[in-house]
Amino acid sequence: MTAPSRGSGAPLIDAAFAEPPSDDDLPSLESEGLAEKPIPLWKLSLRRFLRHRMAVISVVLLVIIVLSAVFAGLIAPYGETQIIPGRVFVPPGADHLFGTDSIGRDNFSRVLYGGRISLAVGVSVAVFSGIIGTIVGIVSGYFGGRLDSFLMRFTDTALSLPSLMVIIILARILGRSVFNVVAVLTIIGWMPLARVIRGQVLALKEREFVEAARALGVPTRRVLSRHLLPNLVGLITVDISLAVAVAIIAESTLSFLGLGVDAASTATWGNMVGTSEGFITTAWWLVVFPGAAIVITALCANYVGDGLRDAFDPTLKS
Amino acid sequence: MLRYILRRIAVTIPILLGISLLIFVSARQISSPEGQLTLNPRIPPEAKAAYIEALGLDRPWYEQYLTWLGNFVTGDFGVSLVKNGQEVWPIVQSALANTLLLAVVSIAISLLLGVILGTVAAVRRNSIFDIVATFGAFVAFSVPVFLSGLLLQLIFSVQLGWLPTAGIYSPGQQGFDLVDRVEHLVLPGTALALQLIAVYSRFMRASMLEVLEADYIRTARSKGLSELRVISQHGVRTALIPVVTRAAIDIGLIVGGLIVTERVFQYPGMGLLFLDSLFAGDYPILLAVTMIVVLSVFIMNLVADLLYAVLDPRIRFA
Repeated sequence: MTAPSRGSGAPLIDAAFAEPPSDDDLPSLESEGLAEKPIPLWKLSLRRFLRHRMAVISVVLLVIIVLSAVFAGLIAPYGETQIIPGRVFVPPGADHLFGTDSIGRDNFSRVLYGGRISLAVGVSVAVFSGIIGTIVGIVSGYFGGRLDSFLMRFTDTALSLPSLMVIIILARILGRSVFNVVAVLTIIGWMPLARVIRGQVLALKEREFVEAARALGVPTRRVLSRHLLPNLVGLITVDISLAVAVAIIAESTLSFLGLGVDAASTATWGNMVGTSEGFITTAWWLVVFPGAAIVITALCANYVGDGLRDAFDPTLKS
Repeated sequence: MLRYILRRIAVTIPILLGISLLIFVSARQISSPEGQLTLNPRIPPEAKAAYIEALGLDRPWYEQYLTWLGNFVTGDFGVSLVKNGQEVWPIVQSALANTLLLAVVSIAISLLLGVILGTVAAVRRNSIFDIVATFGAFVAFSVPVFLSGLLLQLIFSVQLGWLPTAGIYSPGQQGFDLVDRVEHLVLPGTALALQLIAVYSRFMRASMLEVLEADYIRTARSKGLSELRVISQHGVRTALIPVVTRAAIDIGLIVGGLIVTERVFQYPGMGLLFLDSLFAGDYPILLAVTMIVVLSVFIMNLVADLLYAVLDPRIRFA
């Protein structure tokens, strides 16, 4: 019998925002096809992506956010840990755009510097999870057998547990550092994609073009890399961009609980909110600005994922 | 059906044993009562030795595991290491009751609102309502729970002064008081519901869109039934099935998944107990909490599968 989907994180959003295909999503024959020259696939994809207004706005915002984190050293008026004497709990204003904190550090500068770690963690977790998930999914789906049933039973069990509890226990065992946060989130993060990829590979490997390639004696490695992988690129890209949002939120949650990156040495958006929790009544800006940075970044990543889903394969919507 | 249930339980037992072993090793890794004893120079060595022997900490780890497992299965959860040697079970029991109350109330309200929102969004696809609801869901998926919790506290407790910030009873409250108890439920319940409504409304929308394409809906329309009847009697009923089973799974997951909400609102449930015992190194409580969470996840997954079969006559047990 079929059980309802019970993934966590990215596939949840995937499923939750799924839409059955409608005719107007597909390129009509008159407008984009059957002309003298076939339009390359990437151009079609790009055109569909550009039609998703929120996704395009999100890309622009993400570029601004990433650039301001990368060039924090040039933009930030003060240093990450620089204490300005006599400027404790200054509310947002002309001198300090986002105010100052309990020991007189400039909140705006810290949000810029904190973005470096938060974004780096989010992107690396998404990319590492994407790579591991793709490899495991392809191997499991293509070769099947005992390895496949073990891997699928393992991921099924692991994904049915409350992921935050597992993440917290792992983080507590490993200890607090940027590397460990990435490791912990990747240990959990690859599983949903692996299951989706496996399902897709199971369907693809029965298709004629794969059969033809095998019949022609194409080596297995080449079948996987040249015939299967290109058909999975859309799926993987969408998953990675949604996973960035999930990872940024997970990192901030760990930091908030005091299990992520140590606030004493490095600022991240999550630990900035976490250490300011007690000041929420007196200095709301210490919670609201880093919090807004998390929400805007995650929201943009989610919209880009949605736009990419439309772009790569309109039939993915179902 | 009974045979199916028994078989599922039989398959689950080795998985549960494996998980319990992992949890035991992790919990002992995190908390080391031996280490804590050596930190305090005022404890005489004889008392230390007696304590370690009484807890069985000097024996090999697999013996400790088997002893713990034997006790756990027979309902003996042991004694807290931190809370003056209190029995673990009454502590866990009251936490479980608090969490279940919060989870069930919040899920019920979210389910009702989510189903209504999702149905309207599906029926009026691409309307202003649908667009706003979609945007709302995207935002809800992008806000970390700790942030929405803190903002709710800031607005409704600090600024407006309508609701209490934390706990389950006002300071000095003696015995049970329904109004006071409900007031303390509103904010944590809302923080949870904001996310759940987003999930359920998206699930309901996707499910409803699929159902509206079905042949029997066309049949119902062509019989001349009113649109309201078609949607409420034929559409919603079928579309509800995946959403309801998802909610059943959520009850199991949320027993361990309320960690952040309970932490922000200092709500004395399983999540807060989990964090407290994790940081205090109180491994008997940590073990009991995590094992009960795992058990509830498996039980509610089974319930969800059974519910699926009961609600959907197309599904039969193999």
